[in-house]
Amino acid sequence: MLYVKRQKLDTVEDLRKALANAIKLEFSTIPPYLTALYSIKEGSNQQIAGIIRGIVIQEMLHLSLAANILNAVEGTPDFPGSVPKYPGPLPMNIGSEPGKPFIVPLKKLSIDTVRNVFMVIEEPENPLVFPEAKTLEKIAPDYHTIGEFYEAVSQLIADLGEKIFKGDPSRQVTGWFAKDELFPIDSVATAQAAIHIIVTQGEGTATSPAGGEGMVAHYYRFEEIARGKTLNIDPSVPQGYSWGAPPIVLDTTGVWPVVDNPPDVPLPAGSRVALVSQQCDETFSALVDALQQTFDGDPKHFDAAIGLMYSLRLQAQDLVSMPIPNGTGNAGPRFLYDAKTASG
Amino acid sequence: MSYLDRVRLHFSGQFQADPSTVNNDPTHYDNATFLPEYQLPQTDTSANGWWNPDGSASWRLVDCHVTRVCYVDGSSTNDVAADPVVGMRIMDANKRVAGKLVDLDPQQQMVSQIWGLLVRLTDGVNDAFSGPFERASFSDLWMRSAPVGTKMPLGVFYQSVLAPVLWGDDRKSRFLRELRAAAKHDMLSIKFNLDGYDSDSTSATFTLGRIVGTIGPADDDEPRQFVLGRHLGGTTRLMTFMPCVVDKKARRILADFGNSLPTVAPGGNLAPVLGALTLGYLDASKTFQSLGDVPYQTPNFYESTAGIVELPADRDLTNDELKALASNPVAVASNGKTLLQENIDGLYVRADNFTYRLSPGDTAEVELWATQYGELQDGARINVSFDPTGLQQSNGPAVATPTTALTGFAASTPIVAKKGRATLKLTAHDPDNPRGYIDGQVYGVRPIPQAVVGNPPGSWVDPWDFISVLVFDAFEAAEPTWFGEMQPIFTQYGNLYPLMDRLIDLTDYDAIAANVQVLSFVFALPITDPNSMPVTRDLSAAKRAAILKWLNTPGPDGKPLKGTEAPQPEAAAKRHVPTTEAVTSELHAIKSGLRKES
Repeated sequence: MLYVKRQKLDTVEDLRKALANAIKLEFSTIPPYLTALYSIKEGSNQQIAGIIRGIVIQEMLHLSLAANILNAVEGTPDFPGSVPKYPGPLPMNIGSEPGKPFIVPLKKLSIDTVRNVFMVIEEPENPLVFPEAKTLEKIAPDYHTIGEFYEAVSQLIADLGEKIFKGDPSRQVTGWFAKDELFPIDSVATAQAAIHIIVTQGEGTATSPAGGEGMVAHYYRFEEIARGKTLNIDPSVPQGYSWGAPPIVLDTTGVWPVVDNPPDVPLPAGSRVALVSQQCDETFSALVDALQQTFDGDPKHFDAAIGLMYSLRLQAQDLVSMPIPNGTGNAGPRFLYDAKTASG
Repeated sequence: MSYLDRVRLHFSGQFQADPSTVNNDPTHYDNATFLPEYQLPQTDTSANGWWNPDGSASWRLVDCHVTRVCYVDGSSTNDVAADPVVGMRIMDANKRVAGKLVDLDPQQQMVSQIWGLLVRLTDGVNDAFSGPFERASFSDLWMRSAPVGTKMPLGVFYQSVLAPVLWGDDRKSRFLRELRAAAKHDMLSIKFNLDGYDSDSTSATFTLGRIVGTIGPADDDEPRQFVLGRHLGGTTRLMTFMPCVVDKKARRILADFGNSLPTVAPGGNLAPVLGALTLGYLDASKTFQSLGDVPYQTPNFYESTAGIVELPADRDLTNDELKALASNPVAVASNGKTLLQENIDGLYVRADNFTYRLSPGDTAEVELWATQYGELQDGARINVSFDPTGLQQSNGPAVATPTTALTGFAASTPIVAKKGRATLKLTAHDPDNPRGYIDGQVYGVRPIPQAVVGNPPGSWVDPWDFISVLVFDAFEAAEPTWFGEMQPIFTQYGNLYPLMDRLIDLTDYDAIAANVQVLSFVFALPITDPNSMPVTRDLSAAKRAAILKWLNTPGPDGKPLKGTEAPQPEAAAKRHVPTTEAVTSELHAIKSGLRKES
């Protein structure tokens, strides 16, 4: 479980800061998940690819919802300023223990990565079928879980009331997701509904792993990969779910040997892999800038951003198939942002 | 007014062209004989899917910088301290995907178009200007170098406009102020030369080549894809066609040697083979009169001028010279021997846009321009006739037939230009599927000055100056279904563009049904959008409409209509499968960089 230091949550300005942090947090999950997803060879590990892709898409939804809420309360999302460094800590110094930052790496798909990185990122306060954890407040009253962070944000929105929703409605971004998933935020009710989606899809609820839309929450979907089994609805057990068929088998030969933390791995100057890697960074930078344009007053630009996501995917797929000359593995996407070289 | 104007900037760097090459072989369009190995890279023994089957079709500007800016008074600088535009970057889009490189047809691959490209002059953060590049085809492809090494020895140029241009801060740049003042319609003219393309998939610079170009002001009453000026040609193999402009006010000739000078190696230095190179004119007695030397062997000449020179270098043209130039051909001489000159009587005819996709019932209004010694020629007689010689039948079905599918001209009836302008109306009719597995038919239509018909002595014809037209078959689908009309279309697309398989398997109904939203989005995009599908832009409007109708009209199960599967055609196994030898055509040689053949 990850702990986030309690923030002052009193004013609308506090709310904007918290939402900016939420954008950073949701953004920070995407590159590690994408690295694992892109490391899968074409046609291999399709079940696992489907699981991770579904989670990434929902993280993109959460990012969009957080940005919509921020726009609704007259804030300005800052996507370039939200790009994390890898390996590096999650925003807000979120830690696996109170006060100890959790360092997120970029790694190829493996059970180890899923269990020790992704499941940690997504772990609910009280994972179902796990023993109850110690009550957090007793050991560190300054900290709470990500779910609690969102609940506190939701409560602040309720406390501040309808009067804070003075943002320009034309800045609200919709499309590409279902209408009941990505919608305009203009009220306490719509903002709270958005936060409910973020929390439920990510963590599930205290009593059920269901994440909405017939899918279990991210933590449990990653646990499916780690356990190699599917979590099915099972009325015969008290928890309502049990591990079973179909098996989810990781074919390690169907994963490119991508080096750990590509941003830390030097590439030979003038090599093809250096060129493709640089172009991948340029496309990523263009995507970040396109998202900034989208959520900073030009919602129609969402289409162009989606096009860049596909382009980034194709380039990253090229990259992971390329061995680093004299290296110990294949290259991987670095997710390095540089406005000056942004190019689709 | 065009890029060949006193006010202009030059840039150099690299370009990236990443076309998928599976569709370079016409027979690969045949779903019935398509083999999985056609999606694999070529080997020493098999052409397979040629040299880049996984290409994305992306076309990019890479590491391009401004090398020199030129001013209205004829001065110029390559010093950033003198003008902040020097050293700035010429980049493509930074908030959407790259442009796309697209062939017109597998049997006309020599007018590859760039679609959806955005061009910016930028410091990386703020743009001094930006504008969409109006789609254009390359022209004047030629063997610019001996085939040395693995890079293609070919050169081509692209010319088009950037419009509408968005202007940023002028950065206190004299050049930007002069350019903006000259570009009254917020339109810029851009021309670039490409060479040294690397099609060797084992090379570090695979898909990259050299680009050297020029940007200047554009006028809205001039052609967009060629220079309204003097055009030089000839039969020499040492140089190729090039434009000039006589600037009477500046008393100079501006001549563009950019795509016309040979190099020592693909993408290498300009070859000294031309010796003393001079620009001038042929006087009444056909004697060459020099107006100045072309300093093409000066170090960095090509990158810092894009091959454009202003002559005479150190004096004005005299009244007598201007008068002589008005009625005598401009010419280029090498070591005293004339290599290039204007056509007989200074005549020149060209279609501005020369690449068209038409559906039955469509009429293209082709803008024809006729000049004599660079001036618009009133009453010019233009002969227009079918000319399929520039198409590539290759190993595919017959091209350019039936001729009844494209009307609007007759070789026996010249078009007469008014003040140098004429509109050729080309009307498309249903060709009735003459090529079977390839939609529609491709045609070549050539307009030339009537006086040049029959190639009289002293005349020349630029083989690239003709109009390429793809006429689609008529198509109707009242209630399209997967097994009815859709499967063959999507299967062909999936076959020819293997990259799509990494996103959506277009041969699989379920994969399509699971991606209806994104597919209906990209198929509805305008053809000018870089994300428009098909990326190859080779589906008729009717087929695109049918695809959209199918995607957006779900059946009771919420998915696009599947229909019922027809029995498999029994003829498939008997169809002709092309041999490697057949594939190794002349076209293959050109497109694959003469690697094996050289």
